[in-house]
Amino acid sequence: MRRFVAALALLFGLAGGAYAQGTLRVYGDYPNATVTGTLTETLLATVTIPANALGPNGAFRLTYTATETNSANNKTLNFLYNATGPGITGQLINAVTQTTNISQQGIVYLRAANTTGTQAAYPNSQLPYATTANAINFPTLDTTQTTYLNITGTLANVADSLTLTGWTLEIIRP
Amino acid sequence: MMRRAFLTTLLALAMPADAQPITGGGSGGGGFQILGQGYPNASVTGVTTEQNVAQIKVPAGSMGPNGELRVTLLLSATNNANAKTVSVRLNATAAAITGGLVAQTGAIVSNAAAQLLTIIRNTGVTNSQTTIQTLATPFGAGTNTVGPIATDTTQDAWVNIGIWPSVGTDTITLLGYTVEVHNG
Repeated sequence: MRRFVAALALLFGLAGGAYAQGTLRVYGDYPNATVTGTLTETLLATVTIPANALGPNGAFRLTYTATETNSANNKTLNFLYNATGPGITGQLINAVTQTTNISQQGIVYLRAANTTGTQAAYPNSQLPYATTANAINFPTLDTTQTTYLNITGTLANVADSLTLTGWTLEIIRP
Repeated sequence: MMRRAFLTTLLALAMPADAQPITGGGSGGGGFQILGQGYPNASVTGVTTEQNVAQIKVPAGSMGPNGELRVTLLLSATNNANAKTVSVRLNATAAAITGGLVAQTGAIVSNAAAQLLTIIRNTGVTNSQTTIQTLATPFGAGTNTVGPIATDTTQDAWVNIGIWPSVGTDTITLLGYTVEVHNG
């Protein structure tokens, strides 16, 4: 219910006045959603980016926190960007695998690439301000339409658990 | 007169007081604002000297004595062992490639991409700034010398972004930038 309300607030809040220049809008949720007991990729949260929220030079900065079982098995968070809605599909713009840790915090930063049809996303959310050998991801979604960032969890051992606790979304408009 | 006093008292009683007022460091009003954000997708190759690829105006007075700038950059580069350098300057003129250096890194070595951050703070006055000069590790501890630089923010100033490769056959590209300001 809380996630639904947050999604509505995000949708209507942004749609109601998203286009002011030089603004930074902040949204957040605490889904506290867990995957455990399955090896199937599981949707933990969907962050809705309303149509035209970004414009040709906008960006979003998503800060998230998660907790996980401290074990040698992989626990993976995927960030999938799509135009179709909640689910476990989309263009992978970030993937984070943890093993012997109990918590994590990261930033997923995506920019419109001077157009509403291509974006650029830095590939390392765990070290969001750093250099990396990984290539930048360039999704090609039409942000004049509603887009969705799906955050999923995948385990390598059913006895483990991975919980997306909270997220904060900042929409940055130049 | 009586009615105004009554309404003022009523309003004061109705408004919740902060449990613990935050003191120091400006009024606390307002948040960060976006001074500039763009996707220049500007590459430098064939030269080995600093080339300005972005200039973001910091309007006079937008940084108060406790103001700060938060500069975020997204870059790609040839992935080889040669250094590719990025500089962030705060100058009184646009497109400067000297002076006002607040952060610089030559750390894009054997890497394909970088997302970099620097925070530039006024030091309680409007004409002196500090930062940490580690674009690639903005959080944590280090041994880098901290500023200061002396740009007068009561006048228009510019955040200037420069990039260059150390070997002319390499390429470095500023894809995107964001400059946020908190007046302070």
